[in-house]
Amino acid sequence: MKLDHNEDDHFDGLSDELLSLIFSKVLDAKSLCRCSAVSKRFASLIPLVDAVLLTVPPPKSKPNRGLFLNFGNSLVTNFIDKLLQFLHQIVLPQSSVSFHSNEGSIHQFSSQVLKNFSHITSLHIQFPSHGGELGANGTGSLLKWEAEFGRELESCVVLGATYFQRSNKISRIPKRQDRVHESSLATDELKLRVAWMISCLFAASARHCLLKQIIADNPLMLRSLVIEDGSKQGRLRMGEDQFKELRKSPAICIKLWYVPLLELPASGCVMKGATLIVIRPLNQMMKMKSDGDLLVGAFDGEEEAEAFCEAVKEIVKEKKPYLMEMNSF
Amino acid sequence: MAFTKKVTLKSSDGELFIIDRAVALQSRTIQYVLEDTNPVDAIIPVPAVDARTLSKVLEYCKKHLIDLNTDFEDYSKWDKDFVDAEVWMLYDLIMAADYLHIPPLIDLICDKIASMFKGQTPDKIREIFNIDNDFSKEEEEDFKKKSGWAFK
Repeated sequence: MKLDHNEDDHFDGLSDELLSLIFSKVLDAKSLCRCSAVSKRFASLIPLVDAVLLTVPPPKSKPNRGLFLNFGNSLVTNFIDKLLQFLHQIVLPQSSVSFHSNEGSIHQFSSQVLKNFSHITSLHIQFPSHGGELGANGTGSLLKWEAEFGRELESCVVLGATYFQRSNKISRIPKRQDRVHESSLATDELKLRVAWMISCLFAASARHCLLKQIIADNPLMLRSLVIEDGSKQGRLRMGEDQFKELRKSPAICIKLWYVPLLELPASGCVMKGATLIVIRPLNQMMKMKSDGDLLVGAFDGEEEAEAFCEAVKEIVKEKKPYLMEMNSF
Repeated sequence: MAFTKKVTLKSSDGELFIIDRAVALQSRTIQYVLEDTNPVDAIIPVPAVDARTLSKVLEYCKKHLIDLNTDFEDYSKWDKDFVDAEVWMLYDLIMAADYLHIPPLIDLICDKIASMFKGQTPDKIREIFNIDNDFSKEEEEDFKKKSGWAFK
């Protein structure tokens, strides 16, 4: 009974819609990339998936510990130190940190991977845990944060405890100790909380910064995004409205092509000092037609449309445009 | 009263399945047929699905209709066992679920197949699902260069 089935390619009969639905449930970017090496049909459908989970591999070599902050608590110091290492990975130019052979920073890695997926609306990025998280080691402390961003920080919630036990039984010893300091925080204790706060904000804005870089490289139409670390200490969230706000950029982009002498053999015309200018708001460039589509339709239906169309085509072919960006237009 | 009515389905290989109307209504395809023609005691042919697959699909429909009191945990366990099947069976099931238009069942099988893709090499995926490799050697090399990170 089984034999007659074994001869078939099991996906031949499946519609593109069904196969795409399957791919959209894989989530893991690495697995999806491997899938696109399976067959040409797979390769043609995978760029269309709408939800991706990107797990950033841990760095192979550790960057220098350039900065050291002393908060009077080795745990916190360790945590901030690790955090700074993480920041280095994001901020430093590509040559100074090596991920795997050719990937530079988390940003470059993410951008490189996301190039394979042009239709993502929901993105989840997971960093490697860098080992220094409070609460991630066996000491029983806890620190978690969750931040929401639009263009700027909207909210950041931090939950921390110097002692946290995952069990139903309430251990008496820490409870008694807590009672002693119930009403007010001692200076050291307060310092620790401030350190928590700073480090969480730090981590949150580092992730937001990374996100902006990724968005700048990949014009994705995201509707939801989560960035978190492997040990799930902190999470940055953005929703559809927040993306809209992020894209609300007053900047406009001007592209200018210039060809001194242009011959148009098909329509038998010649142009001197031929100039083509495309002006578009930056945020429009992300969601609207590509320049190519825009230019194909330009000047349609006018007298001599044929010549104009040819001119536009030839100018664009001829050379790369000058790029200008204008803010506060 | 409508819920006590029976409906008869006929598989591609001619087997008849007499089931509760409510069970059949989980298939939107059958729902449309019933709404449009309202055949009393008539046999509804299901030409795209054989008896073996249809009985499995109906097993799913019955489970998800009758046990409305079953909690979520129990369902997910049952569902997991349900799709713990061989690849050809999953393939037949998803084709049937698609033809009969039963979205939760389509979702369930897609989830299962997606989980079978995860962490596998392209070679292994081709082997499991019997897919021909239509890439040339050059294309494969090129791909590995560009997406080497995915193979580490």
